[in-house]
Amino acid sequence: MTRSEPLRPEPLTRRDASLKARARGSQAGLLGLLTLGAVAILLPFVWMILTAFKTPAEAYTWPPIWLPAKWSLANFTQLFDTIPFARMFFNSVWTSVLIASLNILSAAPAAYAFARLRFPGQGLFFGSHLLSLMIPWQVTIIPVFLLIRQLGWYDSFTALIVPSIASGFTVFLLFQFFRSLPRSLEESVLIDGGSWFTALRHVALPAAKGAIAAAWLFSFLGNWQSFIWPLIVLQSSEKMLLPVGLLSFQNQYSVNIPVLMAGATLSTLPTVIAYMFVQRYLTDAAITSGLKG
Amino acid sequence: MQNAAPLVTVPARKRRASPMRRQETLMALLLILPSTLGILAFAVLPIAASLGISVTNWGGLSKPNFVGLQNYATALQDPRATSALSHTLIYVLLAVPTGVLISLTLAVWINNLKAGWLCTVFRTVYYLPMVTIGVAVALLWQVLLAPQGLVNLVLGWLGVNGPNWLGSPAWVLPAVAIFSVWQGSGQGIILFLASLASVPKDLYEAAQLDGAKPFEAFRFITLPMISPTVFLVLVLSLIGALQVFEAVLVLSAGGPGDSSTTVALYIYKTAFTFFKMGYASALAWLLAVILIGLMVIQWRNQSKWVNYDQV
Repeated sequence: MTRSEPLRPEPLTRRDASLKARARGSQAGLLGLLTLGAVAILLPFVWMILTAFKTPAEAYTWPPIWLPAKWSLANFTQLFDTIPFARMFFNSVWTSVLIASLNILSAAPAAYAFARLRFPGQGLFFGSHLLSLMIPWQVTIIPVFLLIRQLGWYDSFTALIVPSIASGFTVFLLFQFFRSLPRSLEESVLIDGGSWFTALRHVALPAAKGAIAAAWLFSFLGNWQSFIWPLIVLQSSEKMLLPVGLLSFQNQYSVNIPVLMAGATLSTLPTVIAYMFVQRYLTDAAITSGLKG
Repeated sequence: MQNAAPLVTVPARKRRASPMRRQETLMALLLILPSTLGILAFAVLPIAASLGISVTNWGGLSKPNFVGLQNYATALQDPRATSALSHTLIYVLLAVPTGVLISLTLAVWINNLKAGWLCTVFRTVYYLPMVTIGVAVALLWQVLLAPQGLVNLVLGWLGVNGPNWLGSPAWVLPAVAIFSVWQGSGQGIILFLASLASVPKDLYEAAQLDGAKPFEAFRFITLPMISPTVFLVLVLSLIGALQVFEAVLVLSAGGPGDSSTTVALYIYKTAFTFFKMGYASALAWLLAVILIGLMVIQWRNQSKWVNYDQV
């Protein structure tokens, strides 16, 4: 970008003032447009929560009414009476926590080895992890399902958890982090006669706390939202997780809209609220995940 | 983000004595063992198995018979497969350009805000749908898209008579696209924001001194600088949209009729409703070839663009 003519010092205070006013005006305009967008994002959530408190008659009125005449928890009570919602919620929580933790336990050491150590077969093994990221689920889901059924794991939590322990994505995320870590600290451990294990445990892992927290959150969220694999391998309603549970709830019981929205509200709010507190971690991981491809 | 350096780095330190080397190899194999076993058992071997299954007529229970490339030949002539492909492509054309354009616009607007806390607020709000359970928000949108729902109410204010979105073959794919854009634009926004933050500020100052208008600054500075990210978001959205599954399954179950049955949904039904594992595997490979092709194109471009390192 070259300047075509020299900048003349112009004492144009009035022009400056008008420029400033225009800048303020454009800021207000941006704010207005962005607020409009934010309303488009938030209004559906508001509608969901309001509907969860309406009577069926109120929910089916046209033109719709915004506020329920009486704020009652009847829909929530009916939700818990119709399906084992609490159990599904609990199933989702503990399996997501467990799988995310197992992901970290298996991925952190592997990512460290791929980033720092040199060993035969390194490219091949790392390539396998990348391959698992590239291959679409439509390809692997059929053989893995047949394998699970062969092993007698169908409709068990084992079928859900075991295939998810290793995560190519978590390995890749932590690999990126370890690779960016300065080498000097570990070198000093190694020169002092420490082993790679000492270097990993006392230098690399403490330094990676933030990256590991981000990877854990990302993995937790992925499992919390995971739909197709639980849909295929879990069948009995006491083993169902929230996403599939909500869908089967709608299909089997043909419940009315307010009860359905009560279920949607209760399954949406926890992560939305938690997200407010950890959003930085999560979006950082999401930015790195852009590479996942 | 990703840079051009090779993925597996070679340690800078000098070659150590052979016992040290052996110790390093042993240690490394131990560290990668759990993860590698999992990846081999549930990703690498299944890929090979899937290729094998795709040349049989296996139903999943009886003995599989080898049928050669029959399944692939069938797929190319199967009217339900081609119609699933055309539904998917219509959806891609509706959702991908709209989604990329909207998230780019919103990101540029957020980036131009002076108050930092407002940037955080908007980024957080726009990302919200990404942290929800897909089925829950899809059920919500089923309510919003009903003939007498919130969407048609808002359209009514604007003087537009809204269609029966999910009940008409013509409007069901646009409806799914609207839902996906609402749900997914946060992903593009945060990637664009990260990229926009890396554009050197002095470029804008220089342009301002030259009397460039805001749009010109965008066209000649911002856009070229973030073009690798635009391409990345475009490819990621394409890959996601070509596999659209959950949204159509919940919103319309592929209907009315077959009018919103996409490729991924057709593969799922072929395998798990009709138990044609061999045929479904062949279909999955045809889809995989398209998706992997896109990823390869993205990787090639990634190394071509120097700007990429600045993301």
